Amino acid sequence: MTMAPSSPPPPTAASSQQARPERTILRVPEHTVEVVSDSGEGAQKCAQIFGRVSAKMGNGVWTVEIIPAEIQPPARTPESASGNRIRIGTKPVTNWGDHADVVVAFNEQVLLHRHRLGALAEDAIILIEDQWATHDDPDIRKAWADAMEELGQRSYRFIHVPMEEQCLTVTDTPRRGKNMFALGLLAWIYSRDLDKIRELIAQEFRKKAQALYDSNVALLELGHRWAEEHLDFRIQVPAIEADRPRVVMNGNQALALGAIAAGMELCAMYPITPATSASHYLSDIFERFGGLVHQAEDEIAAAGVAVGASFAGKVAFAITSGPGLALKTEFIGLAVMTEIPLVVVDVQRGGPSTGLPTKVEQGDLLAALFGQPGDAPHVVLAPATMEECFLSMTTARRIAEAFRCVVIVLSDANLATGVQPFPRPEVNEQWLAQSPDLGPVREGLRPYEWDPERGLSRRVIPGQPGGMHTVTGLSHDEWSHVGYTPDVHERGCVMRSRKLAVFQQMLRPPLVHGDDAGDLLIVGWGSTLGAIEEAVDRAREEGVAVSSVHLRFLSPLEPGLKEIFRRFKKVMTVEINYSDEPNDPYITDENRRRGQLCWLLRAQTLVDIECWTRVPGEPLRPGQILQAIRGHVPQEVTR
Amino acid sequence: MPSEDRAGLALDVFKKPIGAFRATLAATADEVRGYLATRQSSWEGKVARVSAELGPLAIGRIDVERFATLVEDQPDASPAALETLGGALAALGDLAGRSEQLCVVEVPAGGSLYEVVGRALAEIGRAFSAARLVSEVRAGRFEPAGGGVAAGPLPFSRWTKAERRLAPPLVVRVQGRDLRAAGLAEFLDGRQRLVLVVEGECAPAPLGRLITPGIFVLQSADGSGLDRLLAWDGPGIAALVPDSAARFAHDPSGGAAAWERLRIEFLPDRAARRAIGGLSGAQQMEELELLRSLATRPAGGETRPAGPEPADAAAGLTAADPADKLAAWLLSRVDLSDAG
Repeated sequence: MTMAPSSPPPPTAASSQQARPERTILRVPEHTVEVVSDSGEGAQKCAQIFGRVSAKMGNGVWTVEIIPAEIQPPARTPESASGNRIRIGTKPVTNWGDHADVVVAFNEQVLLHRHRLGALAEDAIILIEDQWATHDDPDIRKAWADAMEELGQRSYRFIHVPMEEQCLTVTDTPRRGKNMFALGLLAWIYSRDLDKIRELIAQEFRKKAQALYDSNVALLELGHRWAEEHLDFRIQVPAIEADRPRVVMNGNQALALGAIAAGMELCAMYPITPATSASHYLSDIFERFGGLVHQAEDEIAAAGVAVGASFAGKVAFAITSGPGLALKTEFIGLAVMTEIPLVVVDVQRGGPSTGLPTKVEQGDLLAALFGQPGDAPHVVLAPATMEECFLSMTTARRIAEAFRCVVIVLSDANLATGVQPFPRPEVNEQWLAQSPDLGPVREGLRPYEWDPERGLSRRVIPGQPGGMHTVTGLSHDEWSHVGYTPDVHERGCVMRSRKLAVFQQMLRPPLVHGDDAGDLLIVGWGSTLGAIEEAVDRAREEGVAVSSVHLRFLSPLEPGLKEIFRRFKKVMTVEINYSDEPNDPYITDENRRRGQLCWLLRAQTLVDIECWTRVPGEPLRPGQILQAIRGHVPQEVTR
Repeated sequence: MPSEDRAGLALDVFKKPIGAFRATLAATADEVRGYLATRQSSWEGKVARVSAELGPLAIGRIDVERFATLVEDQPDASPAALETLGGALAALGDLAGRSEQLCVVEVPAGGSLYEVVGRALAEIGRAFSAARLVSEVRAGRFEPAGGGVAAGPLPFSRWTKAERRLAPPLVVRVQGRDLRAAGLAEFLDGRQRLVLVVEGECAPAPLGRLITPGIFVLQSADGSGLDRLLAWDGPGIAALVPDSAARFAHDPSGGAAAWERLRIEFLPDRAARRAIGGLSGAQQMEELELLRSLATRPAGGETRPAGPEPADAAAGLTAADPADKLAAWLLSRVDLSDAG
């Protein structure tokens, strides 16, 4: 084993014969780990198990997947970097943090990728596979040397680990086993419970042969032993004593389970990253609860199936991502016009077009709000955590049914693939579908018998005695008769819009994180909650008078925003979507395109709201937001 | 293998359809509870219910009392309807509470296999009976002459086509000497599957007479083949028999001709001379001969014999005249089982 404080050491194979080193035990409230490999080498599995076992042991955890943009990029290239960042803490962890403190890298190129993105702490400890330094291929040796030179500009501490050599003592295919060896290293460094890891491995490989499980466990134990014999440090992140049982899952699993808990009966979908895993997970278990996942021939058909099922009285939802949302536009419009309750989940990714399928972005807000032609009022709800992904399905369903409206749930790739523990939900039977009333309708009931004040009308299900009527996407009157006269169309628009106003008046103003008044108010939505609040807390510790508000309802907007904004000298949204920088060429106050929530809030409140947005394809880091806060705090009192 | 173990083996193979049936019971019970809740609550109860329905995410974000004002008050149901629904809920709870044991019955020594199976299926039919009452009440079609109506046993003969496809498999423990299987043909419809776990000596081919083009018939000593019965999307029967009995599988998906569908693994040379299960030695031999003849490929029969396509064969269509054939095909696709 060789360690170097600031420059890359000559590669050496560690000897198991040498005496065990003296150990430093570092006790910290939180630590961030990255495991990176070429795509297909299993770093994600290693990291996922590490994250899950940490959560099971009581640590706060937040994980973020590092996913290449392509399915199988060339090996040993920076673009091939695949893995996971796991931030663990004594307290609950709400975001992926700023930098990785410990990195396990399967080759120097994937490490270089993370280094160039500024993902590693200045003093990060890097456990790196050392076979490349002495590889037979001179190009590989040169690539190693070049990379080490570039990496040597920072104060990383390198620990060379003979992963391949060690793994060959257990398996003939070390490329498929290094991940478990790496898991063993991490398990020793962070004192993770090996029995719990073995359980998770068994769960992971439950459909595979016993020999595969045995080999993986042997590799895990090998890595653990190697670390014990060679490493001179351990890291302790004390666990939280949980007062309630907790569950650990990613946002897509939470959405799927939430759909079941909400009594959903049909999930209509067409495969699209990063939404697909939710319906895959659901398809494994939905039928046990009387539900069905229907994979349609395309996104449009999936929306049609969901609308049709809901029309027939079933509780249906569709799940998709940005490009799919675009295709569903027409059917969403039909559901709005016919007032058929519908939940549509959009797990956002980078756009436009096919954009960044595996990357994070909050770029669909305006499309979700205004994507339909004509006036198509509907509800948009954005969960901010994995737990809220679970809970949002129940709330969305009930709103959709009570208001006969469409509810779009905006999740994103950060929530979809990240893992976080949260208290086990106490599932309530009343969340489940209360079946539509199929009793005879009152004689003379009109299918759109709008309450003139609230715009609400009773839902009539096909087959209800006395409820027969035609359904049309054309403009129609209360009898559902097509009508093109100005008053018919006007009245329909008013009634559909009125429902949203009624719902808005039932919403409560959002809570302010921090003081109720101050110099700067940050406004966010969706998965940035944790990073924003951490940045705000850090800024407040520096003495900055900053607070934040995080919105869940984006249509209609939560009430009281203008009043809250008035109490701050400056209001700024923080979002993961594109906006022009004010000082860029050609950009003026007149033509500047702003962040999507910023645009919405400016229009709705007439407050001169600023925005700070980025589209890095990865979650925002609290440190980045902190810098933005520092840069935007008003320098003088102008209230 | 003891019969308990073999019954357990069968239950294990069929755990998916049993689970699906139980999930349906639970879902129906949930629907009834939801219906009752909307018709039996005060304003406070309504607010509490609406709050629960909105879920924890709504806490602090939505004014639940105002939201509850939107939720329509449902018309009161009649006392008789409520009583009936209460009874249906109890029946569903009772059936769900029996777990997988609902799907296992035993024929007492000397008892009638036909009667035991009929009673067990009628008991399962209580679930359908309850679901029908719920449906009638919710659709406003429930008009009892007096008080509530109980969700009583519903004989298989009164099950609808949909119910016959939803019913769980039934595992029946029976003594070989009581194994009179021919009468069970009445229950082989829809997707009903019966698994007979036979104890003691039995006739060599007790299920032979049940072989018809659309019915999966299996005799197995160790349970092999049950997975194929599970996969078959139609009615079927299996018997887990002693080693001395014939072992065969008649799989309707095997082809149009009997010899394509029937695979015999073991056929005893002779039957017992004495009567077993009500069948004389000669009758037992006749069943073995039946199997032998069905499994024999016709001379020169390399190609599929002329006749209807397999799907039509499964529907029992053999008409030669094209017009008759078309008429028969149309009739086979019009389900009249619910009529009347």
